Amino acid sequence: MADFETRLFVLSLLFFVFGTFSALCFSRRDKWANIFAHSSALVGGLLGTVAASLVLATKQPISVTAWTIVSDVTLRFKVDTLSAYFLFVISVLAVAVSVYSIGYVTEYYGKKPIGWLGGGLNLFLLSMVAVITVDHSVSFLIAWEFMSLLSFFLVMFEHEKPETRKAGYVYVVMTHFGTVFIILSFLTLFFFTNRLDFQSFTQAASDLPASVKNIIFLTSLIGFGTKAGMIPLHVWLPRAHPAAPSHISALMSAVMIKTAIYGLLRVNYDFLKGGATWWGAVVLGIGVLSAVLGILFGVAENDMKRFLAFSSAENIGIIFMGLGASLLFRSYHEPLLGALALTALLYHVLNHAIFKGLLFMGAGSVLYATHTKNINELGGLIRRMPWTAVLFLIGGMSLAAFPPLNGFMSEWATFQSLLHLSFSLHSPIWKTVGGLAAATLGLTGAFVAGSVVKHFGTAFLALPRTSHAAKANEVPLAMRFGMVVLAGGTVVFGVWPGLVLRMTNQIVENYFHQSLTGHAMLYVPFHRSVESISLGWMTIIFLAILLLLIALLRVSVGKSNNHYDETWNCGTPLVPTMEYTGTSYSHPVLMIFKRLYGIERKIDVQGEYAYYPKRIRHRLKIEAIIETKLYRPLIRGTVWLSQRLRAIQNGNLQSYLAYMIITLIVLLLWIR
Amino acid sequence: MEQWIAMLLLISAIWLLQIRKISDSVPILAFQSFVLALMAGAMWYETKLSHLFVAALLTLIVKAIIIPAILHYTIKKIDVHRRVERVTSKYTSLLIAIILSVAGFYVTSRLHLPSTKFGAPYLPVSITLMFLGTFIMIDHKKALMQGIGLITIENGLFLVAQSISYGMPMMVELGVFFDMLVTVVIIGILSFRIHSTFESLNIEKMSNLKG
Repeated sequence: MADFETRLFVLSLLFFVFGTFSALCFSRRDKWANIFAHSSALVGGLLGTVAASLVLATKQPISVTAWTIVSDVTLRFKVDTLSAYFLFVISVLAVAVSVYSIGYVTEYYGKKPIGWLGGGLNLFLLSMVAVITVDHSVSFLIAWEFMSLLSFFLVMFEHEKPETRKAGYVYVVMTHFGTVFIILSFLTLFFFTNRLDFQSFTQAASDLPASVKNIIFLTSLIGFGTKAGMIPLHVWLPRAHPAAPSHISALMSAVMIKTAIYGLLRVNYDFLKGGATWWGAVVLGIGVLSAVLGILFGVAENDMKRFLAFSSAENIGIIFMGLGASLLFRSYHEPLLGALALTALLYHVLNHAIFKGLLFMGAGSVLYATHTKNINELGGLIRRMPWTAVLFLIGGMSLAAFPPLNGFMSEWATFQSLLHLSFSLHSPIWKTVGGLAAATLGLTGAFVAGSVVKHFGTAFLALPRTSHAAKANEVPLAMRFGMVVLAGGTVVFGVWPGLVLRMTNQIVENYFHQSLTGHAMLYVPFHRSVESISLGWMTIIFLAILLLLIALLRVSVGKSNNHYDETWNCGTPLVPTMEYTGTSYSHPVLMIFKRLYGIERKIDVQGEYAYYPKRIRHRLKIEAIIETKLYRPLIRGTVWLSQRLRAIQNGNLQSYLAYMIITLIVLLLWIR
Repeated sequence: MEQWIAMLLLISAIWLLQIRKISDSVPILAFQSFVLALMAGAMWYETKLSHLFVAALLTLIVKAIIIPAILHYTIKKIDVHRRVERVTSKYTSLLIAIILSVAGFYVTSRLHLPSTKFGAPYLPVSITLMFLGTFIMIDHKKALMQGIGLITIENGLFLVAQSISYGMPMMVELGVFFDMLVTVVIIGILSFRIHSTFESLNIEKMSNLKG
């Protein structure tokens, strides 16, 4: 039956190709380009979802040779279970995003070339599918570069804005920085195995000397980590995501950064088959750093999409924590716990893709309706955009890991694996580190919940602060439908973890020879000896606590009685701009972590008397410490070095001749 | 016999680095090309390959007579009978020239290039000629001397071709001679223009042009 799945997979790729070309053909007619591009992306996504599910169900890898580029370099697609899992994630997002885009791109009608946007989207999806399915390092790198460049062009779609150009520039520099390290890692593999295809790497790489494996691990970590957006290589995330059109940022944040996780899993598990203990420690450390710092920077943001971008860095941190824990367990020969950690990270990959895609679409809907991302200019949207509000809230609750939504399940599994670091490894170091990591994950969760409340509360509740928000209308049906698909996903994958476990089971079994499966709904029996969790019980306990609290409050406070009256406002009329803003909401956190943000606060009081000011201006300048302390000196150093190097390029004919003859003589002496 | 000719070529190339006035370079160049023609003629005499005779004749006419004549005319026209200017001092340039010659001989001995029976003795000298020609271009500051260095490199290349396979195919040989002629004419015109623009032939002043 593998034949059938192969056909589906190829057909899905062909639909992406068709979408690209048909959109470009109709680039003169916005409406046609929109319909052709996004409907073929939709069909491609649906076919991809089915193909991936079938591969995961039958556990039969499929392989298609498309093109032999040179005798040893082939473009071959091979979908094994790991690829299929990521293919599933990409395809689900492709479905939701392409439906959403049909509505979203109407905003650009007549202003921007829809054909190029739609075609770019299709090609971007195709390149991402290629990245996770090709099994040759050369074609992988080509696909990877395609993905990076296409996402760069899509980020630059609104290139007439100077900040977009700046963001695009930072992004393209960072992504190429990462690609250099990925190439280095593959070249190291090539030097020691003399082959370029993944299959040879799988067979030969685990026998390499430890030092070579360390090099491969570090280069791949830096290379893929840059794309994933781990701190401190995250600087492109909060710039590129807000600059891109919202459906593109949804895809980039939800799926593209996950291809880096795929790369890390491929290299560390498939090729190297685990390694030294410090690998896990390094990954875990980066994970903790990314999670805490990512959300701390995110808390301060008033721009919805910038906050979501920082939260992506935070979620990548959580995924890295899972990866670190699973590498640690592997090096300590604890297959069962390693399997648990790997399951947790794979689960979180899917969940983050779903809820972050949903949230970016929600932010995009707000942007579509109000033309602003700044929450301090919004307010009261829940009355005008009830659908968007509810769907954004579902995504936000999932982000904040509220049961029974999906974000909770995977974070819980990550928690378990971190706690097992301290319970099951008999070393005082890991006992401390595991506990601390779990504690920081908890801290992260609290900040996330706070930020979600801030963004939802400021943007959707209260009264509109500006006319932007007051004039907002509910977004078109297609956009709502795209979001509903993913909101359904948050619920399904939240209450039915067994479904995901069935998908990840084979991957986990390949690497750890342990089976973790769940059958029943609402129940995750990870394994007999590992804790399981039942969402049914969870809900009951939560409800019980809630009821108990209400009862307690009733007993202690008494029957609540509402009394409506006017607010006393020192005699001035009440206006919506007096509402509590997002800035004030996050201010306490900013003050606590003042050092980290490098806050510069300035209050200007204008007017003759300080007690009767005509105008008060409050300015808050945040300069993230990573950028000032790490990137500025690095950039300055690079510029300095380049200027020194420029001395060689002096424009003098005689110097060039001298370089040539010196090179010639050295070459003649060197060769035999 | 071959050794003597090779030595004369080498001496003429080093001599080009030691001249006092720019106008001195023209007779030396003519002498170098004349020796080259002599060598090709000797090779023709021993191998009886007819195209070697054509090469010898062309070398004599183009390189030993026409090119020096053009250069002489240019120098007379722009009146640079003054001393040459070098980047290094006279003795340093001699030292570098010797080092380059040694390098040329050493490199050739290691390379095991294929060579013909009558051409083998010229191989090290030909490579050294190329090195020295480049060094002439590097060392001298006057624009005209770049052209002379270029012709020396060309002579070296001609010699390599002769010693490895009794010269290049006739068509290529003719093409190279024609190129050479055109190059020298252009160098002459350019030197004239540079002189009239900058009131000097010093190419260091040309770096003012770069953006």
